[in-house]
Amino acid sequence: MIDLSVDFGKFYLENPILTASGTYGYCDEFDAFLDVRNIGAIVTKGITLEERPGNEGKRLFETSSGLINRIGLENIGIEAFVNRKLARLRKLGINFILNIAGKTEEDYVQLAEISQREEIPAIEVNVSCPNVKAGCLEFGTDEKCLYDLVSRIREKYKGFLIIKLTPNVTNIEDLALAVQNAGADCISAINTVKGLGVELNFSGTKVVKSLVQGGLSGKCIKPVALSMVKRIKEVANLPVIGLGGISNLNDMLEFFTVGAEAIQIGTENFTNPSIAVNLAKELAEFIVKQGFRDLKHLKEELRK
Amino acid sequence: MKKHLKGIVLNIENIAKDTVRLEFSTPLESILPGQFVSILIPHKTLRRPFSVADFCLNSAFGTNNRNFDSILEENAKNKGAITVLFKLKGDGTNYLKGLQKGDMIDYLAPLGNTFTIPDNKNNPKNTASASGDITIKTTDARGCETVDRINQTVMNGTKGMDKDSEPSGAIETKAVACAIGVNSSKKALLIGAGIGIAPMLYLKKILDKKSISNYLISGFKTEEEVIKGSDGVVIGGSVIDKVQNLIDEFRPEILYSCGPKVVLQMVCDIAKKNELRAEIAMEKVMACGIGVCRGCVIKLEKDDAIKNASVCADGPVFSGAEVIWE
Repeated sequence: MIDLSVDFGKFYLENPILTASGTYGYCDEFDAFLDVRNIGAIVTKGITLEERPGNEGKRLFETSSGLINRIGLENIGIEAFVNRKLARLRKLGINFILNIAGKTEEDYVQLAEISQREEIPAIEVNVSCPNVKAGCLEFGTDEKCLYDLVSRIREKYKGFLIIKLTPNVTNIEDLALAVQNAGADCISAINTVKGLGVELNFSGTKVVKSLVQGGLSGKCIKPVALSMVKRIKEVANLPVIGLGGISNLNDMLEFFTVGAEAIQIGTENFTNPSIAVNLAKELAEFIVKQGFRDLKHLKEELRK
Repeated sequence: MKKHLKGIVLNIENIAKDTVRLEFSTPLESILPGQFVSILIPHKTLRRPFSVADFCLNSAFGTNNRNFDSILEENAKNKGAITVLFKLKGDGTNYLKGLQKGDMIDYLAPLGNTFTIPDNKNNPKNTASASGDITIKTTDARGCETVDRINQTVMNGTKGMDKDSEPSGAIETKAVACAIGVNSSKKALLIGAGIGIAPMLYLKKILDKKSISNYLISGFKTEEEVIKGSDGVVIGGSVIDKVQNLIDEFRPEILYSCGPKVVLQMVCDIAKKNELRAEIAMEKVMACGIGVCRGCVIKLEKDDAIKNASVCADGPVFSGAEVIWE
């Protein structure tokens, strides 16, 4: 057995392939396609304090090599997650990370407290949500605001704390440092890129238009993600989990090259539902074929 | 149990204007009417969902299918065939149109739920022969039984109709139905609009097999676009205009429909007015196809509460009375 493990100290992965939040639900649908226990870890759908119905209207827009979504964080709420989903994840031995989101700092603090109470081993914080008390600017776009938020979560939660950064900023470096200084354990990058889909239909001179403003994901954002991961690693010492448009072995190796310790598969799960497990196999085969000792050795050579 | 599968294209043909029928091999032993498959389109982010228009499980077919075992190892297990219909619309359907016999298809199936099938007990007129339908049963090249209805032939024979004298461009369905001696009792009325006929055709086949009397009326924009297999066809006008007459004549217990939103909405209205149950198969852009991404949700009103339902996993078939229209 080739050693593909990633040890973050507080959190351990058998292999470096995770599934991104929002693309794997609560991990109760993909059993049909693969053994989910073979995934490094699954990141749950973003959970808020209260149940949310999500956005009205059109939620999806396919682009060239990508997908715009505006789901609006439809989710069952933290209590329902704890009562209905948590036991199953634990019983099946699925390694998971809880993704949390909120509208106010207080929301996040309460979610952190519940995560601590329930002994959830790792949480990923979505900071791309509008901060209602700060004129709906996203938490993750202002370094002071982000520092305060992460500090308050850190006070309440002692497990492995990952902050998922948004790419919709000018200086990702400042935000990465804010997260590091506030005491987080890890950064995941990137969340979706803001995008707009425009669909036009004509009936003579009558125009029927549909505008879908949301988060762009998929293959087309990979260069943005790689650049962000590289820039974060240049200033921060925290480990980084890279994501954004990864769909094959080579994509994964590119992220390792710029400093990612692990990666997440997002949109590609929809196209290819067994990719997470297949990639782990391919990675092991590649390591053997090329003659590397293990994943650590491969990463060292990639970063030389 | 849904699976990630590979199949071989067994047949692909144009069946009407911009309309293609695609048949491919499958290891599945059954698939229910209303269920769909989600086909991978190379270089596109999203798979494309297609309602099942037919499914055959037949050993005779299996023999022909063996020619393709060298192309796809898994094909040895593929004893069945799934048929889907699609209208050429965008990149996905235009890619599929270019497939040829022997090409590989990557798909997820079976996805989604199915229609409620009424039981056929306590109905003295429930069998196809008793209901007076004239049917011709044939066996096609693949060894699959097909049922071609005489009245479909009648419909297709109404070419050259003077559209000006018939403002809606519609065929007088009722008259045609009576002319061929359809009995005035049908358990199920099926309403297909455009390519929405696909799941109705498969549902009809299952109802026929279960000897549940039924009548399928379909509407198409033009004569060139007509897809065969209905008991009655409306061309140019609205299929909905015929539905009340058909309800009055056949006294169905249930309406089934698939088609554009506007048609489904009208089917639900008519069902409500007549105090009938309507089950409609809905369509929405999907990402995952299995209920996790929440991209294709609609709103349902159930037990006085409004809640989200995903078209892909909670549907695509919904009780018309529960759907809240956007």
